[in-house]
Amino acid sequence: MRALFFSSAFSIVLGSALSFSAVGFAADGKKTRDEMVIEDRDELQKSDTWIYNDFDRAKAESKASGKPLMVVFRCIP
Amino acid sequence: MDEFVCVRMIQFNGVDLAQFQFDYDMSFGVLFLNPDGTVYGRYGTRNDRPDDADKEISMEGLRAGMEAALALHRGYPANSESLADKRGPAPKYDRPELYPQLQKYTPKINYGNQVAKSCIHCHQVHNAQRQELRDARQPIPDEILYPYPMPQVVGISLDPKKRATVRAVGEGTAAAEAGIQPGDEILFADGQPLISVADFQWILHQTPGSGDTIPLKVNRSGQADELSLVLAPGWRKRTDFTWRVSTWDLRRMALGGMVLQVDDSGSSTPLGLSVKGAGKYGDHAIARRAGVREGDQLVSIAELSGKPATEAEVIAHILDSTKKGDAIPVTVRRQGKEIDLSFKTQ
Repeated sequence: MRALFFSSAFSIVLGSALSFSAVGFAADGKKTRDEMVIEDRDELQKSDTWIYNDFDRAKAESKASGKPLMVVFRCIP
Repeated sequence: MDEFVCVRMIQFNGVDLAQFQFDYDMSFGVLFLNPDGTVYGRYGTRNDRPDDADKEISMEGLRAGMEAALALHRGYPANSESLADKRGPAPKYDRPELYPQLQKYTPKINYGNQVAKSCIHCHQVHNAQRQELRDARQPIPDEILYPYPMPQVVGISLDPKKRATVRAVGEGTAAAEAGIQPGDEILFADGQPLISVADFQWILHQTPGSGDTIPLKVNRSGQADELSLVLAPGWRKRTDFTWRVSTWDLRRMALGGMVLQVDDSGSSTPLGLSVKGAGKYGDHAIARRAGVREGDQLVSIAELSGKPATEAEVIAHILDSTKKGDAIPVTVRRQGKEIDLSFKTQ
């Protein structure tokens, strides 16, 4: 399960950044970039693993949990 | 994943530039951090070939980097001295929107209206650094024009599926001179533990264009070995930066918005370049307004002629030899006829 999640998360953050795969349906021009960003935000905000765009919150959680931070910068293409 | 606190950042507005130093031309970049700000390492690399730009990253490589970051976290703070230089010197501005060119942006993006337009992209910091220097009529140092060089520039190809393991060494290169061999695992460079290809790029990024010696500690077949990688003055200039997103802005500054390509028309010119595209709007249309057209062969530009050049070399030459507002002469060949033109650099 963990491996599956790892793979899934990797493909979300990496695959879409490099191959546009996660927004392939949007490459047809049916969605604006703003819509893609908001859709991406809504999806990530449901995640139990990812903190969306809030480094201060992540840092506080890292201090509290003792876990290191993994900060991913990823541009919506 | 569950051994980390994972955060996805999608904007560069408001970020701490002292903390977040990585290759800003990436559309995907990772930093592994201690919450006190200590950097364990970076991940995220691409090469200069558009067709296989993602060949420098892999699931295995990311996993290896994550495992290495966790090991460094477990060893912290006993290892803090070796990690100290994984943070670079404080930048001129604390946050991106403090750069003069980016002051129209706010520290947060606007989700209510024009989300994308309110977002500072990472690469815009590269643009802003360069524009500030041009506006001040100062030269752009190699360290800013050629950021985060690929290991190939010094003759090393690293295995993207591992942390920092040498896959190949170029003949006659600085790496070959240093005695680096395929299969060597680079454990430390300049005293810093490496967890990825991007970490080695960080070391190169911190090495001045005037040259320096980088001490390496490698694991060769289970035996530790210490080597010295000697980089000669001008070593960064071998870098082809034209794949970078921020090159778009360099083309505006130096080429009046032209995009140059290797000329394959069969009718050779000394520079071996022709105009692939010329911008149509604003300052990206300066070359077009001066009379340049797609398909023109470049005979000379800014007194550069006589031998083949790459687009990166032409851009670097113009930025080195001009100040903002200087006019440069351009000679193009169109339908067999040479045409003299001129435009101002930005």
